[in-house]
Amino acid sequence: MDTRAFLPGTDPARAVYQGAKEAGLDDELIERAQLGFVDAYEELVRRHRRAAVQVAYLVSGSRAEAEDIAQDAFVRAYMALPRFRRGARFRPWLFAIVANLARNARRSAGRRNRLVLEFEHHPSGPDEPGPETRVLAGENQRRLMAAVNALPDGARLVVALRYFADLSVAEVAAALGLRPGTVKSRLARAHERLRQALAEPPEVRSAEGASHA
Amino acid sequence: MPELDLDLEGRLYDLVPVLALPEGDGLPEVVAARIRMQRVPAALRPPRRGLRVVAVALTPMLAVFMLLVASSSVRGWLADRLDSDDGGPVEFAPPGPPGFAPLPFVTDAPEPPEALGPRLSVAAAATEVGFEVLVPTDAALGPPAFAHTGHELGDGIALGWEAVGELVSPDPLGTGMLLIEIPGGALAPPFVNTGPASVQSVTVGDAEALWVEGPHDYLGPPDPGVFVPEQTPSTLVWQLPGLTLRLESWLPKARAIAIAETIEADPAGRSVVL
Repeated sequence: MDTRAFLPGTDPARAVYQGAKEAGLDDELIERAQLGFVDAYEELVRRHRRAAVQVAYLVSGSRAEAEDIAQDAFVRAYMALPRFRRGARFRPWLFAIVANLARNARRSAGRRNRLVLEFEHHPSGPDEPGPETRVLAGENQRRLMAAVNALPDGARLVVALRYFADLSVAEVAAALGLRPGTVKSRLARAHERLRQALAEPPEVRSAEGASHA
Repeated sequence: MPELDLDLEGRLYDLVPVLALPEGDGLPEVVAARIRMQRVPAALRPPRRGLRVVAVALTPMLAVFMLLVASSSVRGWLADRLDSDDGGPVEFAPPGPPGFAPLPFVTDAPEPPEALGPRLSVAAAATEVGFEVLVPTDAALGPPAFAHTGHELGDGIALGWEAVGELVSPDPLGTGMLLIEIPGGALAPPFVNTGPASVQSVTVGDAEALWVEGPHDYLGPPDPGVFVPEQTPSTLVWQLPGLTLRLESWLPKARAIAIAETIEADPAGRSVVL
């Protein structure tokens, strides 16, 4: 379930309904795909491509390989569809396949490096009301990003999958082969570290953040 | 959850636009094209009732044909035919034990796949394979310590136990026992005898089973026409509904069978699941 649905101003009941509706659509598409309709599977890929490729990127640490990994995972998942349990959730199963292939790719490439998240766009929203506010918002985002990058590897990956790839706790658990309780505890510890980092004086943090960016 | 967490979560979500993570926009079309070009599992082909009837009728004939392939004269004829049809050179493994037909393998097969793939947590591997994974309930054995879902296993899974206590292994990785579960499959022995191995017909509960004692070559994966030899320890092969199981270890026969018998199908055709 998407925690974002419980942020102020949203309706949890509606979010639950939406989640069930989405899962129902997946079930329908899987059923048709199991009958041999490739276009149904193509639609399933369209629905989950973004999350899949982001899991591939975040686990492998390679933006360049992420699409290939996700592509292979979707093909493997299709070939295994005859044995997919009726009523099982597709996304956790898919993400476990994606993450496994992404880990293999990282090992094959001999990469032992850590994922470092970087800004692709200027860290200030274009819809901020004025130049000073934009600068402040940008600085806050830089500090938060530096704090995320300073997290231990496991915690950073859990945070990235949960918030940046927008996976549910159950989906993060499936992707990483962890129990949901472990994911929750890692998230809680990560929150605590992030809060501590953000509470430090900005001068100190911005200097550290520059080294990660 | 404290309000500060919600605020922090909101700020983390707000980073998404500036991170510009990959979107995979072209994936649906590429994946669909790859699937259309590939050999599609029979279960994913639209059903054709007429063909199904023919397939049922042909199955016994195919079994007879496979037995004929075991005879040297038919092997010779088949090798001649395949050589003359621009296929890869076909060789036959040394004769197997009485009653079992060695299968042909292609000597210029593609590169052998990565053995069993990396060690995964059992939970992660069980989620990946997408079918209900069975585990022995033998108290002395305990639960599996790791699992594999590498290419060699096809759509199957291998549950692994460390070489501790009664489980011994010359394997430098310290694998004491593997339980390999492959959806579908056949009881026919996919191996050739290359050493002192002996093969016996045994039972696991009420099910027929094969016991291959001693090191032998296992030929897999079951890709069409491609068999890659791999040395394995003693092996027990048997089936449960929808599943072929292979227990590989250096355990004595009686102990391997006793462990296998703790995996029992329930009336719904399933068994103990993870």
